[in-house]
Amino acid sequence: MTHIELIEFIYTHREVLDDIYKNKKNTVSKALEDSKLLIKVGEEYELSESYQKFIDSTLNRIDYAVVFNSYQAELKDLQIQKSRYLTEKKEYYLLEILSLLKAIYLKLHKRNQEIRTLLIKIENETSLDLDLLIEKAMDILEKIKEINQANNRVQEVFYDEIYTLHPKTKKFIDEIAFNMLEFIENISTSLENLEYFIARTKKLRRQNRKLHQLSTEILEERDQELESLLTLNPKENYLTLYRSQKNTIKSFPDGSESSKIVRKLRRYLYEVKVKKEPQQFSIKPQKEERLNLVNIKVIEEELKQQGSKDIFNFIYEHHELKKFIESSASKRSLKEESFKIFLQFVVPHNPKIEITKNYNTHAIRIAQWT
Amino acid sequence: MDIARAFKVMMKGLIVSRNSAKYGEIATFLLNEENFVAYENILQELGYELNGENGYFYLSKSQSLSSEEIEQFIQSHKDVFMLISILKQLLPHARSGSTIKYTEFVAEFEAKKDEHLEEKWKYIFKESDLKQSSEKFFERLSKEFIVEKIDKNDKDTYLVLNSLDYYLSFLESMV
Repeated sequence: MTHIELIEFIYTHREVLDDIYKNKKNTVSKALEDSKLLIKVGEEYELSESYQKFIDSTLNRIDYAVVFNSYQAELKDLQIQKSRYLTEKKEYYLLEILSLLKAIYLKLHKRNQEIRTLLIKIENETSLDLDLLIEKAMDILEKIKEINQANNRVQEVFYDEIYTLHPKTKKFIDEIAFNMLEFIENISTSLENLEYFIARTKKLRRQNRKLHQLSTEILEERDQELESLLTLNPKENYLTLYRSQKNTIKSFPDGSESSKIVRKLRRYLYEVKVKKEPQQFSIKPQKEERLNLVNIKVIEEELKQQGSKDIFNFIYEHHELKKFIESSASKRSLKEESFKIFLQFVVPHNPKIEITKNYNTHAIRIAQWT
Repeated sequence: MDIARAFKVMMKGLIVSRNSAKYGEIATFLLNEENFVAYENILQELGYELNGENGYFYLSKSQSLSSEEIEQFIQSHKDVFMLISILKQLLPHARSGSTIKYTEFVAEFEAKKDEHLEEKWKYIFKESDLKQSSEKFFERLSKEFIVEKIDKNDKDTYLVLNSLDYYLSFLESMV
């Protein structure tokens, strides 16, 4: 069968082939059964490995289980041909070397495509469980790291051992140098992107778990931590102005007065034109976690010994915390830092701590150490 | 866009997200520090605070809240946390900027339905009819400015707004 006949054959059987590709069909004509495009597995037909590979590479499709072979065999062969060429100086070995260089280059090109496709696929994946997604991404990360090392090795061999061998090898390597560099840089970028994706997905998983935990606490009315966090500084929080039926804030003057204010604002202010920017869904990298350097043990010991009618105030006025705030390089809020420590005492169940329904002057629930 | 127009919208007590088709222009306007500071100063004189980061902005009351207001404010947050928790239980990949499908949500509800999910559902809704409640669920998410329809003719696709990050930021501070 010639190439053009093969194309015609595929065209003739396109619908059946497509059904098999989509796992929708298990009966085929004799001609198709005898072709190299299918294999029979038990009672069912599947596309042959070579035809499946042709589809995947042509349509830029890739499976997470893809195996990226290294260039070990080709590089080893290259060394052998080089050594033969240096000994015998025969043109035949030079042609073999050029052919191997080309084969390695094409493999680099293919890897580059596969990795890009794989990253697009995993970054848009929504059907996998997050644990599994992270596991797959970590696996791909390892594979790309290996490819990165292998690519660097190829670059070393090309330049250190083959480049000056003959003007033809020099010419070939010069011609592909730019693309090779691009592949290597792409891999490096892919590694960074994938590491960022893994960190982002882990954060998403952590948030989902915390949300699950929080919903349970709300249902079981064990949500003091959330309540305390919300009342820490309500004026920084949303929903302090609850919406009325008319969808205007309840504590604001009525509609006519609002219009007056809008008119007044217009009189004093000039208009700034803002171009509507295209939507960008950038996600800020996670902030580094700070180490808590306050000696909580000291505070806890004193609480145990002396007790307290208001644990938050006790922490707020404690010399350990003041010392920490004063010695801290960045500006910290005494109230916020006190609150963080306060939470560490009141959140885990402690029979010595009694949380009352009253709030102190800092708008924090009064908790007593009995 | 100017401060007066931003105020006219935000005085309704809503949270504006940068990736919102309806209110994105206001959020973009407020991302400019000069605009933010000018608006913040005016609002403080009126007794309101301007808050926002990471692409979402909202107003809050400067004065202390009464006991009744505190109760209302806390309960409103709990309701929204419960809504987001349901959303993330069924569509765990949902995040600010992603698109979600109503039909996928309904299918996942059927597939993942368990006692915990039902309890969460009852916390928000009384109806036992899933279809009606799912519609209400999306209506409620839209009302809380967590999601927005991408196209008014497309009843299935919603965009998750930047305001989701406001609620998620609390989780970072929790033990």
